[in-house]
Amino acid sequence: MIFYIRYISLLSLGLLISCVTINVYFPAAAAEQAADQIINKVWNDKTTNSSNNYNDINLEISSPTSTALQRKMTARHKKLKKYYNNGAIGITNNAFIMLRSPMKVALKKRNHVNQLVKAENKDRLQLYAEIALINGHPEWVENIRTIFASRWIQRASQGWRYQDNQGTWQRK
Amino acid sequence: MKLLLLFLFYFYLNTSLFAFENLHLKFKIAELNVSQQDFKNIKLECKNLQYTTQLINCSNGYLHISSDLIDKPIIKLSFSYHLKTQQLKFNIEQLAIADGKINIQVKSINNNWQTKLNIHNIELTQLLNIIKKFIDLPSDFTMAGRSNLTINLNTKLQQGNKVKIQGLIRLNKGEIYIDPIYLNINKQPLNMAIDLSLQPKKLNIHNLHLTQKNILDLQTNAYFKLEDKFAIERLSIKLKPTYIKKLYDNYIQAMLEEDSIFNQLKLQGMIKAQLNWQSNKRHALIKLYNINVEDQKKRFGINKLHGKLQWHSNSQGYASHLHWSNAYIASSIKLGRSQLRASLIKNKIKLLAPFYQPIFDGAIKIQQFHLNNIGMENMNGQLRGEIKPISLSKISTALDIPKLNGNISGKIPWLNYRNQAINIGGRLKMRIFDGEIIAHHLSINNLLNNIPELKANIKINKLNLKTLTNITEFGEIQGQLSGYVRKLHLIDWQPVSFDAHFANPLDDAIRHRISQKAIQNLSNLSGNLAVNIFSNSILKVFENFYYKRLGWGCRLRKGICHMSGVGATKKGYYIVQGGRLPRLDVIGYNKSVDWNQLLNRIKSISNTSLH
Repeated sequence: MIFYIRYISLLSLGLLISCVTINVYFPAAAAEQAADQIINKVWNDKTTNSSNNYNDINLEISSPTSTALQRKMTARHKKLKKYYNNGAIGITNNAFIMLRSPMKVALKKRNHVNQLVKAENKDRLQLYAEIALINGHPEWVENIRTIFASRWIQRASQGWRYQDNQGTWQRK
Repeated sequence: MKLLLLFLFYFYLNTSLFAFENLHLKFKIAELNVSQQDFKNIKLECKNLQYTTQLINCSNGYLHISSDLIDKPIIKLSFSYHLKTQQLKFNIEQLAIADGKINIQVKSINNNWQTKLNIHNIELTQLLNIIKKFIDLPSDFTMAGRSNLTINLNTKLQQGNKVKIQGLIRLNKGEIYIDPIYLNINKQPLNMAIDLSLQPKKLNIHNLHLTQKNILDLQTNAYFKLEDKFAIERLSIKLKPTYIKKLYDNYIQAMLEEDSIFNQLKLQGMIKAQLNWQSNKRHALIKLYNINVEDQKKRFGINKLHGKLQWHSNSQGYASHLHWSNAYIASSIKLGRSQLRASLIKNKIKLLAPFYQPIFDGAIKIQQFHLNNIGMENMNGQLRGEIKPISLSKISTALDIPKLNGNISGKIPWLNYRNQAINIGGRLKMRIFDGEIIAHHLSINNLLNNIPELKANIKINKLNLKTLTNITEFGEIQGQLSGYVRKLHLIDWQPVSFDAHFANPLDDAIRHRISQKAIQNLSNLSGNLAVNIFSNSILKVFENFYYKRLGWGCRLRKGICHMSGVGATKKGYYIVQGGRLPRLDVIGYNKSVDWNQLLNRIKSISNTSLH
């Protein structure tokens, strides 16, 4: 009899365990803070509210690959900045950049800017995937990209161009 | 084509003059639709139309068209038609389009059309946008800039719907950007002479001659099939001997990335090239004549480069052969005369004879090299080579650093490239600073990708510390140094992790001395080092000190270097353990230091020492 009770108890426990589903929700707020931290670094933006304590971010953004990508993007931004400023380059609504107004780039520089834009988008794509990967959730890549899409636009400087949700170019 | 026509046609006779002279012609079309483009309110008016039995002539007419495609709706025109000879002449003046002006002259007689177009200051992006409304072009095809163009074409309609076109297109001025080619035509016009036949399913280019005086002379003939699928049946392109400097300055430089090491070159010499394309084989050939290349930042240069580079789609027997009289790298590392023999077939490159490049009194020798599937996902290859001993004294003299003894040599038993990763088999050995550095289990991943990753183990055997410290401003240390860097992991050439330890070998045969300057620099290296000595004043008195043993270790993990030395003290570890009197110990108390901070300290010591 005792054997059966033990057996049933173990079976119930087993069934209970097998029914447990652990849902890991995407930490959107933490991702926003993480995106801001990266944007600050890449755009060398010191204007952010200093009350943001990035140590509390519940999302890992630091890995050698992520650091290397941010370093490349920071160096590249120095070359891209004047094209953000004159409206040649705009921030797309899917977290990338685009040469939206080629006429604003001197013809001789057109190739150079095209190559910068291409390299920047390649790095951004890899960065979003890397953040998802270092947090152990490769499936978060789209969520991370979405967060970045809104943060790049939100943090853009006055006068920069961005795409709204309908894909229309707007000016900050 | 959709044609909606509201037709109004009338003329009236001015009775004061001869009959059929000074007619007033008015012709109106309400709307015309061509390739889904609307042309509205089309009016043709000629106030002084002559009409005789031999001639219809309008010398002062105008055409009015409302359309987004043109900048001004009114176009001046004149035309005449000889009834007997059937000769038609037609002139359009000042057609305002794409922010520029076009004059058109057309003359036709017996199926033979002569067309002259004079295009002034046209904006190519706008022109391309207009062309794209009528013709399907690839989406990434872009043109930009302003240009002046003259086009003279002779078009003949022949039997079998064959059209023969001959003519000359001259680009007089302007900039053109067709991704990724940038052309700036300001000094010399670009001329294109064409002679072609067009049939419904084939295009035969008998001759297409592109010239820019003293810059470019390119001749092409080709035969294309224009059936359901476009196909090149035959294509031949010949670049006549050209000054490589002119070609580079006018065509190549703007295509290179600004940061590319090839972006700022000084060039001399001539180049000739040829491409032959047939449906079953392709062959490209470049001949180089006495070319001198020099990077403006003096990073590299090559003199009297001569030979031919050729590629064939499938056949052997098309070897490439280059030779040069001398070259240099890093401003002053001189390379001697050498040559290279290789074959480039399909997507494979293979060294046909060992490559031997003399450097000072030594050389780099590549015994074997091949690379397959170039440009493809599964690109792979192998290399085997060695560095024949090069005297460090020669290198140090060239680099203007304190004189070094010994030599540098090495061996690459085999190097494999596969799946975007390089693996070096055996040991990569380098004899340097009277000792040796051996790298093994060396691999590089994602070499051609954005973020390369290197893994290796390195062993260091008995480097002469005096030789090593004498090339730096760190301060002289005597003795030998052995050690290792295990599990070295670099991402984007930055250290991520490693286990390193360097110390005097137990059988060190060289006497141990350390200079005062080296002690001070060691003390500054870690914020928390201490120097134990009888008296600080003694440190100032003596230039050099005897030491028993020195060493330092770092275990790098997550940006933190966990340090160790050559023996434990009560609270720390010995970096330098003193021996005879006056005994001197350098003790580290801080066991962990931020790697970037440590690097900054090393940089700051280097800077201070240099001053």
